[in-house]
Amino acid sequence: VLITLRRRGQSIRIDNDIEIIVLEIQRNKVRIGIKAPQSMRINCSEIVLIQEQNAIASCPPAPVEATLREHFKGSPGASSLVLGKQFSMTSARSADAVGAQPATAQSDLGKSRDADRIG
Amino acid sequence: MPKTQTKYFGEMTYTSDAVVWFPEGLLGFEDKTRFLLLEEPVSSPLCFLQSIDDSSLCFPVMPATQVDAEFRLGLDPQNCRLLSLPIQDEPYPPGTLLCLAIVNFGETAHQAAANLLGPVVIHVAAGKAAQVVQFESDYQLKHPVPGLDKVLTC
Repeated sequence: VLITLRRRGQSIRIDNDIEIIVLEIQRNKVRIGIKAPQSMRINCSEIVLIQEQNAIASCPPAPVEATLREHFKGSPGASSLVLGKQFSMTSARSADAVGAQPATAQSDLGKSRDADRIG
Repeated sequence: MPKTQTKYFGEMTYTSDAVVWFPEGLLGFEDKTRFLLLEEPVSSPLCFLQSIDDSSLCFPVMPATQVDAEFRLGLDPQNCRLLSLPIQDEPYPPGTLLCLAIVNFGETAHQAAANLLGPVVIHVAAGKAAQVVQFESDYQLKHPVPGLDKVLTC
């Protein structure tokens, strides 16, 4: 790791085509400019980490996936849409699954569900 | 009414007002822009963000405030425009936004963690949504969510 002290307006070069410029320094923030070829992908680390987490979250491990599938297989209420006033499940066993569901507000979707929680 | 295959709940029909539109997709899934938010009372507070474009794509989610009761969402003007929200300093009326953390399961459900660094924000009335990175916060990418295994084992 190269550690170097830079002041506002100063920059760092990587090879011939990348320049990292310190544009502005605030109390605990730095504004940085990066000059690089268009073909290079430049992202804040958080973005890359979240991309990775999204990919992992969309594919739960097999045992968890099996648990989820098993968990919902026989659920008589079937699932419902949180948004949208009407919904129906074609594979639903129960007529209860068809009905109106108001859009759920942030505060509601949590509090009102506590009562339903089993376990 | 349109129908879609879901990952965990079989085939569903839905109405157009139920579609949550992500104009920019989710990070790493930029080409998937239409989702349904599904809930199943027995798995509460766990909900599911199911892609309409790809039936095998489904994100387990839960309300950010269920992960951290103190959670405060930060939105910049660019986020507001994307979500068709007015740019304002004061909080939006309750119910305007739905803020969800994507849940990441470890090998077992008791290792579950929720992503508070990049919550999914839905502007309910507009049906528009985005994953909004909380750059200026200390929120964690993997905030532990103890107790989710109980939800799934009942």
